Formats: sequence, C-alpha cells, structure tokens
Amino acid sequence: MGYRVAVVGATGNVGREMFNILEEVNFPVEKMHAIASRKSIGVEVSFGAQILKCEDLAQFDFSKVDIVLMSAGGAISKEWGEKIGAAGPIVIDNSSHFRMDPDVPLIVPEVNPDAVKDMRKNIIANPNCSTAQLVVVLKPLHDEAKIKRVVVSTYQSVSGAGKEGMDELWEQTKGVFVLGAPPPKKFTKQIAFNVIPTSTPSWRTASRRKSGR
Amino acid sequence: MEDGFTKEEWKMMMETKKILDPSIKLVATCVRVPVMVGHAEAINIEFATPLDEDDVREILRDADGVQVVDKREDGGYMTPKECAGEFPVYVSRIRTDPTVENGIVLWCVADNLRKGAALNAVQIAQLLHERGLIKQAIPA
Repeated sequence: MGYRVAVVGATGNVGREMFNILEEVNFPVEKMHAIASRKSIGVEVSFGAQILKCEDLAQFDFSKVDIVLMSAGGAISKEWGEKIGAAGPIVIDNSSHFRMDPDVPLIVPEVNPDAVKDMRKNIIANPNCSTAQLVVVLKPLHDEAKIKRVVVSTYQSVSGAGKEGMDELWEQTKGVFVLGAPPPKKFTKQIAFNVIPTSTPSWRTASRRKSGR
Repeated sequence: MEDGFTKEEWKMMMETKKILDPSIKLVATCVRVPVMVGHAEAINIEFATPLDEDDVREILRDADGVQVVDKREDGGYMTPKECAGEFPVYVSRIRTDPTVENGIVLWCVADNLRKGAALNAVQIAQLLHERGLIKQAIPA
C-alpha cells in the first residue's frame, strides 16, 4: 500500500532533495510523478532507482494523486496551489505564498503538529528555511521557561537562493583568480569572499516579488 | 511605510509567532554568506523565568530534531559544511548572556535544503500519513 505522490518543481534544489528524502525515510509511495514547468518537460530526475521524466504542470491531472509536495516559487503556488487542493490531493507548499493565510496551517512537526486540524484549503505551508531551524530550538525552551524576546542573526548559504545562487558563488569564486569576478545577478553585491547584509534583495514594503525562500 | 527590514527578516518574525507563540518578540538580521549549503544562526534568547545554560543543554539534548554538539574546545561545535546532508538541527556554543536577567546565547546550524525545506515538507507528509489524513483518490 502506498500513495500516489507528485513533486512540483521537480528540477529545483529543493525538489531534488524531496525525492531523495522521500526515498531515505521510506515514505509509502505507490506511484511518483515529477512535475515541472513546460521548459523542463522530459527532463529526467531520479527517485531511488527510478528515473522519472518531468511532466507538464499545466497538463497534469492532479485528481489522480493523493499528495503533492510543491516547491516552485511563490508565483507558481499562487496560480496553482488552490486549484490543486480543490482537485483532491493535499498540497504541502514550500513557498511563502500561503504561510500567513489563516486557513492554511504553517507546520514544523516537532513544534506544532496539532495545527493540521486548521487545514481548510487542503494546503499546508512549510516555513522559511531560517524559521524552521529556529523554532525547533526555541520550542522546548519556551515550554520550560517562556521566551520573552529573541535576537537572531543568520548566516545563510547561497543554495537558499536556488541553483542560480550556487552558480553565482562558484563562478565568482573561480573568476576572482582569473579575469575578475563576474558581476552580481542573483545577489545585490559580490557574494564570493564577501557577506551581504540582506539575504534577500527585497525590502518588506517593496512591490518587487521574490522567490519563496 | 518602509521600515528597513527585509522580507526574509519579516518572515522570521511573523512565522515564529504563527508556529510557536504570538507573544514572542523577535528581531532578525538576515545575512547571505559565501557558503554553498547550510544555514547558521546566532540566537540570543531572553526568558521570563530563570533557565541556566546547563538546563538549556539538558532540555535540548532531549528535544526532537535537535542534536547538541557543544564541547568547549577548538572544533567542538558544528559548522554549515558538516551539517550538509544531515537531518538534525545542531546546537553549539550554549552560554549564559550576562547582560540580561535570564538570557542565553547559542549557535545553531542545519541543512537549509533538508530541515529548512525538503525534509520538513516530507515530515509534514509523514505526520498526515500517521494521522490518517491523506485520502486516497479512487484509482483510475
């Protein structure tokens, strides 16, 4: 017995890790689907010993699956999240789009598993990467002595900004010793041999949309 | 309206309140560093009631999803490079903050693609499975 599972954003950093971890923890999977945008149709990804060919998000019939893990950025989640949830499967969404929606639980299983009862759109949100590791540490301490205030500084790796972030660090690091570092694209300043005090280049009230991480 | 915080910093404040407790006050500075995989955080915590560093170490040793690596010697702590590919959130350098009444400072690292993203999503799927909440569609 197992579930029919779809991973949306199958070719991304997080999508690939989702396949690895579903396999590592022996999640009961009967049939796995790799879903991606049109430009990645036919791209091969691996799930354990299986090679999966990416299927088109716009053409896929989500009523045929039981659960969907989604990590394709906020814009894709905004367009597709509720439609997929309405078609039947539960959607676990890694983007920031649904996180503050009162009808969508935001869950870290070690911290607030009982929030699943608040699921009203067939969607559960996965928190920001920096929040997830923080609350796992805060929760047992808060239970014991009630936390009043937290001051946190993060040191975030480039993989949180997707494959382009990793490529930018790699190309700049190599470039520094040859022709000079190529100019920043994903980040706002050179990331090689540097630190940047805004992990995302988007300000809280700025209108420009950025990725879910 | 702009208050100088980035969206990432604002997400940490709002998400912590939603997941854990709306009464917790949190301020964040989110920095990008030239590391491929693994996020680190330096965390200052102020408690309402006393909790010393030994209590904190003891509580975190027993906590789900946490591993304490905290030897007070060179290399007796975790770094992002070592946590890549791993499941737990590692906590190191637990110490008393002498500048406030009930304060603790600690260092924490985790694989951002795992606990920070894909692992947490899969753990949510496991939670739904254990609670029998995943309805199976009728086979085509």
